Amino acid sequence: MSALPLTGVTPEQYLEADRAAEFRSEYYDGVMYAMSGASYAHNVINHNFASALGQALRKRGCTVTSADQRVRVSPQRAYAYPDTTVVCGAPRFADDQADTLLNPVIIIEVLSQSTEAQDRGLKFARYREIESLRDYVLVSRLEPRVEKFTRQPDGTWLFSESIGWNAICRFDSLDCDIPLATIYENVALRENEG
Amino acid sequence: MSAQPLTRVTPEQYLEADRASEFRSEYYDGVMYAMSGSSFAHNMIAGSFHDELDRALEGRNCFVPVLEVRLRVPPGTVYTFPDLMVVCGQPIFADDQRDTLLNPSVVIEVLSPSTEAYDRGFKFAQYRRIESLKEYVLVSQIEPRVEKFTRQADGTWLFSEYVGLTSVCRFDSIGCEIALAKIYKKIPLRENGG
Repeated sequence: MSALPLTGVTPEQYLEADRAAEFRSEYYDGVMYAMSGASYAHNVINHNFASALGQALRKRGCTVTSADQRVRVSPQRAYAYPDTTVVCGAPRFADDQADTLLNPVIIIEVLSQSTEAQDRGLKFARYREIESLRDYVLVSRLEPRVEKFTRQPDGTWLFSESIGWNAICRFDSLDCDIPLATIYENVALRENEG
Repeated sequence: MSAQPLTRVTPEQYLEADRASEFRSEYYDGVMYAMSGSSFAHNMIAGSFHDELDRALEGRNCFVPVLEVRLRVPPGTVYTFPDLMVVCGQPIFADDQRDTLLNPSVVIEVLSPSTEAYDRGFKFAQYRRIESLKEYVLVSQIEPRVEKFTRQADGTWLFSEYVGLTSVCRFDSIGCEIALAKIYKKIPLRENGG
């Protein structure tokens, strides 16, 4: 999230502004946060993961979008642009502009130094409010590590991780395995890329 | 963690320097990081939580060491000062100075904006290596919210949270319950605490 948020904004004002703008902004409790660009490694990781998921889940009637898909978090106080979003079955939208998704089942965020606290903290707290969400995935840029939170029937979330080049990120509910070697293909993993 | 790391030192050099120093430093992979001061809210929360745990654990097999006890993470290249720890049975120390613990059952960190990414990410990853650790607890300064990761038999961790001043958090590994109203009783909750 960028450094100068716009405050005192209603959700309607946010949507109108964001739809008209060239750049994307997220929205939390009255405040708009312009999104800055991501690093090249971030984008390659995100693309690799999204493509692999898209391929694996095609036959299951799931669709995958990355980076430009706005998601509304109930109760209408937060809007975000996750790095990758998966919907299974028909996507549901906030209104007839059909650009604001309500029912993702998987959300993936690629971590960066500037966003890690929010991705792990505030964002995860918001995303937990999305009833359809089953898996929340965090992807490291420093090492081959993918962390996953999977919603349990009692409202808790199971945290698991896949570490190392030979590891596999598994989505049990979709019977889908994504190797970390695929997620990190052609990516130079370097510390402190910012 | 503060922004000015010192030059590379061995764990032994770190311990010697830190024990001789007035202020505390943590140690990650060869580098010492001086700890910056905590906010008033942070200290009040940690203090209240400490008091409540003390009370709840009286006459039991587990206890809360006094503040500023160092923790060593296996295999010994990471040393931290968690906000609070709970030890069950005999405390095991790294050496005969008895100031560096190896076997907490519970580690508690009060979140602040500057440390949140580490507390949720890197630190949690390190703490997962501590075999005795059963529960890892994150406490918000901004709102009455306590998040807990509980180790499962298969190496995953169950994430659960307690939100709101009427909530009561339960620590199964030490058999006690702590009311959030008691943890937050001494501070006015405000935005951007820390």
